[in-house]
Amino acid sequence: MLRFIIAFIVCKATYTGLRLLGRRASHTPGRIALHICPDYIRYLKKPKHILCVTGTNGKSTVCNLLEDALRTNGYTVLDNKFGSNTENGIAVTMTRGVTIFNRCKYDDCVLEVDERSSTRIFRNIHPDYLIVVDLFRDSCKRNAHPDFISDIITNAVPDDTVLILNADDVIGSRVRIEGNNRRIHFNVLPLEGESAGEPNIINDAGYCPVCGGVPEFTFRRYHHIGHFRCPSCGLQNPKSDHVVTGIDAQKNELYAEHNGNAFTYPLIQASTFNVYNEIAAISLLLELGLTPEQIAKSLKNIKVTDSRYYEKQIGDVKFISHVVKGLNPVAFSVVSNYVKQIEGDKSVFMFLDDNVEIKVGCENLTWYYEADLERLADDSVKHIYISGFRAEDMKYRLLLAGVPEDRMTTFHEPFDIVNIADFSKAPTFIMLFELYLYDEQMKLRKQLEEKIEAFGRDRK
Amino acid sequence: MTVEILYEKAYLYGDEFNAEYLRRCLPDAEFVCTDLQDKPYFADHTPDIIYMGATTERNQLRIIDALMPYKDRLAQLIEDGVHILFTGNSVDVLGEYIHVLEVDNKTENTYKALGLFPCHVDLVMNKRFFCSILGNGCGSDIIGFKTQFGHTYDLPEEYGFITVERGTGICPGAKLEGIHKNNLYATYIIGPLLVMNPKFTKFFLESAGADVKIPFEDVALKAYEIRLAEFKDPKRTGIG
Repeated sequence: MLRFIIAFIVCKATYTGLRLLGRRASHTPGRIALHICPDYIRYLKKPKHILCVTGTNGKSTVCNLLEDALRTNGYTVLDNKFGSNTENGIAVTMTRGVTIFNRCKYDDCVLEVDERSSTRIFRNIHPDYLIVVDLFRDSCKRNAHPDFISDIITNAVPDDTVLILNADDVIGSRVRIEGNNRRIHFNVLPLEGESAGEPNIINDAGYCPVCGGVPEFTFRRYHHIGHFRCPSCGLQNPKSDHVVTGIDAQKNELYAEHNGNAFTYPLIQASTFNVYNEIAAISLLLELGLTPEQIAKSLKNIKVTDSRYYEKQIGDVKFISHVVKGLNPVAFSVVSNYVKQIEGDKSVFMFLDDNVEIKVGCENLTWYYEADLERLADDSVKHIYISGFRAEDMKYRLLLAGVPEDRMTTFHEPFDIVNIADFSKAPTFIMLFELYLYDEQMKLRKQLEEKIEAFGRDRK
Repeated sequence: MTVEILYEKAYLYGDEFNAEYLRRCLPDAEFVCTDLQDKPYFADHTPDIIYMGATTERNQLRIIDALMPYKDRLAQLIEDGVHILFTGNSVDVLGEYIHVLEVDNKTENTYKALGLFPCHVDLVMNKRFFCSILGNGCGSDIIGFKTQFGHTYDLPEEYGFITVERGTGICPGAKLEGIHKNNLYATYIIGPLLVMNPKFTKFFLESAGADVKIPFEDVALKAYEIRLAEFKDPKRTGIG
């Protein structure tokens, strides 16, 4: 207990000090506290309900929806929105949640949990509810593959945590399949006018996870998400408790059934990923006792803001800057698909090399070959500029994807794009940048915007 | 020419594109894809090339089960000089056994592998290993990346495939990476290996008697030469 008290005082003091210095303090105070007392989080007083959200994509959005809905309905909520989702960050969040006498100040706690860190986090935090939004491939050096992440979560989650799972995800829905946990499922039926997605290179349910048979997808939305059936052993998606039966993007409405009863909710965003996020959050809020009406009311004013996306119209040129999460092939596929779907012709600038990864020896290029870059071979993509150490490798990948060679320019120094880019090639210019190159991207964005403005003046 | 692709639907880490690359390089070849519940084509025929890529640890055990009845046939094909390429953790199936320390860091399991080479694999599921690698094999420089849960131990040096210049070999401290016997080449390198190493790809396929068409060969070679010069530069950090 003495170690905890020392760790607690140091954590509180470090947090306050760093905040006074204008730092985020989302990580370091927790690291110090856990160094002093490895079970530090266990001894902190917790809110009544601990609601955790994990998975590959959508964690932040689901957490934001839960927090907003609970607050709107009068609950006090502790969250790690501005902190890290690893053990150190959770330690900081939980410390923020208590007084100096270690009394908890909140009713509920909504925690985004890094799926790879769940073993360490759930050792000292007992989630009442855990949403697993989905499990996809992420960085192969850290996360290996979804089956491994499923094993990690399965091993970490206590037996009495209620699991809220995506029934359309044949891997994620099998987390703790042999445990005694209560299981609640959500899914999204094929939406009006929605056809099966274009083929993806990645399908992590190429063989049945139970028997190794070759499954049939009666409807495959993307990757391994969809309606799965194994002819060899009969495995299929679990039955859902909360089903999205349709959306109306014009009216901004989402239609759902809960155990057979139909309800209408405001649609927070029409992308399928966000429809999954919304129904995941609704499923948990219903479990907590909120009525569909209360949930609908609280969702009314919520807007999903995408911090990874920036758009500005500069004269005749629309400038878009979009994050590509490095090493993550599924995210890269989603962005490539998005680029293809942007209306009209466009040029693309790829600013992807991560020097940090090269320096510490964890570089790999496998994600180039797992991502569906074939989408960029679309005729609307008039030119692709590729910068960096691996520009020739990306060019080669794009050639194999079907992009004509005369539509590509490679160069080493990313800032040269300012002089190389030809803004007359297409009315939209899209910069795809690696997440960890955010600061450089900001500098580059400014220079490109100035250049586009000058281009507009010259044109006039 | 017949190419057998083993268990393609299970591939990981970009090895999907090794299989695709073989199709692009050998447009006139016949490709036979074997799934987990199929009898391998090589059981009753002699393909010119057999390829298998990286997969999950769960599928790896299924693959061992699927191949076990045909391990003697596979040994015979290796002796006969059939061209075989295993990449990523598909190397693991070749040894005598795979010992696994599971994700809970307590449970240990040992699984029998095909026993085609006198070595074994230790996997530690809570410890991910990764590195970049530069070496020499089959007369060309080979570059790639490794990311895996464990290593192969006790492999006699006579079966080494790539002489490592920078990076980690088949296990920590080893100066040799992969397994080589006659025309069997097995390596933990992902990358994908074939796409990233056009010289090795050409050597492997031509020695199998193929009429090889490396797609956009000039661009493939340029990308390879840039990486090679960088990996050979002693000032370049992060390798090894």
